[in-house]
Amino acid sequence: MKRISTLLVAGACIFTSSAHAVDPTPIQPAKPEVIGAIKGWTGNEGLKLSLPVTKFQLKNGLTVLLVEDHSVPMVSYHTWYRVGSRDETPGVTGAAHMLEHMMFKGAKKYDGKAFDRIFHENGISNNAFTTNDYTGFYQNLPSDKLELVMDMEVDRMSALALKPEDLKSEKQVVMEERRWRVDNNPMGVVRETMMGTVFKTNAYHWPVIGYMKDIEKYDSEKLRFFYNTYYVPNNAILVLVGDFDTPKVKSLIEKYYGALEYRPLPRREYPKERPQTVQQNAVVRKDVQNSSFIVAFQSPAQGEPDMYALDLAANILGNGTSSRLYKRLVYQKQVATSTYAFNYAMKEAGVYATGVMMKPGVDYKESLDIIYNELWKIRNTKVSDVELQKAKTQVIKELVDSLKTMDGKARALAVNEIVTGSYDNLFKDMEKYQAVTADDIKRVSEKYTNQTQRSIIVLEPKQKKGAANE
Amino acid sequence: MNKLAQTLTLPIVCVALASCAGKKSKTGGSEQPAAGYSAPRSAGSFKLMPFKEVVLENGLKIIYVRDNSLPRLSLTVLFKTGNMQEPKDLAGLNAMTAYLLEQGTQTRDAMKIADEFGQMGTSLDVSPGYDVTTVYADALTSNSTQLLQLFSDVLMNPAFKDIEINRLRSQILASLQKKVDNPSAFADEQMDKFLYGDHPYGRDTSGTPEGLRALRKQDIIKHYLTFYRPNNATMAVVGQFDDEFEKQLQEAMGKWTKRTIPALTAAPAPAIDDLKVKLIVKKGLQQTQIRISQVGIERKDNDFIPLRMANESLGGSFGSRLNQKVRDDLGLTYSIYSGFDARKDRGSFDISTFTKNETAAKALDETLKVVKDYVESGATEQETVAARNQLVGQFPRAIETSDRLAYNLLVLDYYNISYDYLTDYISNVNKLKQKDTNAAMKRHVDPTKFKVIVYGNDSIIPQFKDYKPEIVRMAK
Repeated sequence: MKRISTLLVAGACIFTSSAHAVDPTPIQPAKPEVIGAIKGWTGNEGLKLSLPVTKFQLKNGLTVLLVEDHSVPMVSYHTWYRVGSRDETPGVTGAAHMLEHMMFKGAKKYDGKAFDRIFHENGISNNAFTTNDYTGFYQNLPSDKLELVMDMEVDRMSALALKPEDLKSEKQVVMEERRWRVDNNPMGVVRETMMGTVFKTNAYHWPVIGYMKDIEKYDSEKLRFFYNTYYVPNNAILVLVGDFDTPKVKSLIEKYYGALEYRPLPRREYPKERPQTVQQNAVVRKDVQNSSFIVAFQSPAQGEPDMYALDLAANILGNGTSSRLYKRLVYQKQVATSTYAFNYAMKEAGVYATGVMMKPGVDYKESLDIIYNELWKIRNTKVSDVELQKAKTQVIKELVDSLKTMDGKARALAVNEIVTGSYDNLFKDMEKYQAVTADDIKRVSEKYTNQTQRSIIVLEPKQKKGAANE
Repeated sequence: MNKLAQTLTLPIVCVALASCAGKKSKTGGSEQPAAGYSAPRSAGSFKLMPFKEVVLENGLKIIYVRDNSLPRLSLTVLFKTGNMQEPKDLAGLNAMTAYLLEQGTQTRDAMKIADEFGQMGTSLDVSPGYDVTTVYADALTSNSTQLLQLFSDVLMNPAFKDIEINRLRSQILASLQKKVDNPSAFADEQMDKFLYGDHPYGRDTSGTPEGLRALRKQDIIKHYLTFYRPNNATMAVVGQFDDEFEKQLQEAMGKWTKRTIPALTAAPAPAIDDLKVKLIVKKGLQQTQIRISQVGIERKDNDFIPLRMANESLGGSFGSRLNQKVRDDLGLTYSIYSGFDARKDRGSFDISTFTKNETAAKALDETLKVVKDYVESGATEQETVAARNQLVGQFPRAIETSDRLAYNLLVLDYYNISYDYLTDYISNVNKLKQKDTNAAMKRHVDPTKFKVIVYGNDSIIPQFKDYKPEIVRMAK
């Protein structure tokens, strides 16, 4: 009765969840996926990636990226808007996400349940997501359905229905989503607590899905204001990868999207996060089997120079069974079931964190000291060349692997265009990771991971259980 | 924050499939496949990437798929062993054996193995299952020789050291104990148990605490020597490699010794004679998980595709009846889906959803109503056309990458189903009529004979009075 999210037509799911299922960590932004011409491959040095991207902008400000790819007769169609939870204010948290849901509830030409129905009838798969910084809608469609999808996307970009009665039932759906992601999921609570602890003044303080009390109160007028402000062509990017003819698609886009009106965006001023100067602690107590904790720090925004070295530092600390934390806590001391580390860079700022899931019955305090020690080591001693090379290979391989599919390519281009301002940064990233030195890793660790800059989030069982160590 | 965390193993659709013939194929510019490679195709479908099969003297079947679009390659081995091949009192034997492969060989210890894979930017991905167990690793082409050396070493020379056995055992026991904190995974596990009883499909693929504690080193060695054999495995080699690498690989894998593989069967899952509801109650839960299941089909059943198509309209997408009613109209959930999980032995037909504690019984009532109505009256012609379009239109994604194609070939090979399944898929789906899929649904799903697991807090108990449920309370 397990489901896997892979497209397997031949039959039964033969992959099942493993006993070593990774504990949830914050959803990483879609890592740039890079497929295409790869030149001069010798080791990893001189590895170059590129995709044949056609980029243009309509008069109304809509940015378009096209990549022809005829590997299968399909198109991956992505429409992303530069609006996310950072554009909300206290009291209406989660509004961007709620609006994402309402985008499936009918517009002018395609009204009522037409979106679900027409996608379904035409063999098109579709979904959407909301993050702190942007909202994305995507379809994977047979290539002969391209004009239909265009017509539908233009309709909901320009004339969303937003009916109060639809909002009423969809609010219930979003409340269930929140219970599922957060309230009934201890790790979801920990994640929400972490973001709220690391960020005090900027909009990353609240969760993308919003607080329950805010979800209950949305009204369609508030959402309409949100929609009218941000769902405009000059705040959107369109990325198409797949089986089409570029000149032909270009003229179709001009035909369908050309009539939409440019609307000036409000000046957006996001409160800057003040640098942290004193350690923050948060404890969550739930009816759970085991303790776990996160040690988190503020880190630089997406694309800032220090991001690359921190990504590699996180990899060395916590990525996989050859990482420092796994070896020490899971393998040698055998006190934890899993460890992880990540650097999650967003548009305004990032979170750099390490986490440990204890075995049931094992106290976390000694492991917390070990984490402090590992953070101290990486601040004070240079990582070895072998470790550095390993981290680079892992990061670069992940980049290469993410470009296997049309959908992967589209996502990679979209996230780079929207978060860094140009899709091209996707291809420059490789060189930036390659250029990181052991000194850089030591330097950024010293800069961002001191005792006064850390936030400790602990999840503890309400009742102590007997040790279950064998 | 997806609109729906859809985890459906469903293929894709279009009405008139544009043929990609004549366009540049994905095999990286080499218009002609290498010697021995062929690209099967049939009328009305597009070409599969070229691949070839080789069987070694020790019985290992190797499927090669060359793909030069990226400088990488992957190795997968599928062993025909899983829960089905282990005794109940040693449940966990197969998972322990599989996970221990990378915990030390005759010449490398566990940490050296982890480091060597890590250095290549990869790791060994081991998945023990109900019927099969897969082992996968990939690397950049520049590391292909190292990858082969390491991969063949863990497959052929595992050390099974006591210290590693105990380390892993403790690790898996901890993971099993923690499952209760994940309501969705816990509900799945309880449903398996309720539906399959003592059948091997009723147990977690990682085993049971009793089985894990009982098994000994000699059990693991015996299991390995019996089932982890070249003549009980199929291998897929995918990506950028040349003739020389094929030669190297066959030389390395040829050293593996074959043995006679015993055939095992399991007693069938218990029959269900009416609707049976089990409430599992735990304090503090903020939401109720609901699972509705009955025993379904074997993968080799001829109704496999008709049922997949019939399920599209019932619970296979946003446009399906269950999603439109229970989520969209009633606002009772964020996610509801149904599906057939076909396996070597009879798999299951499952419906999975969750709702707030207050509406647990209502969600079950409404779901069962939709299912009953659908099985009895069938899909409309419009729904049938939509389902057909979904299957056909989304199909190309299932073989979009060489890895996905290879994985599908491995699975087909395991079930002894011809690869024509892929080349003829579209024409076979196009042949299916409304009456075919409706009849298949009627044949295989009985809306009056489900087993149901409901996992929520105390407040759900009074809601289910009419179902006369069995009630289990979780100890604090």
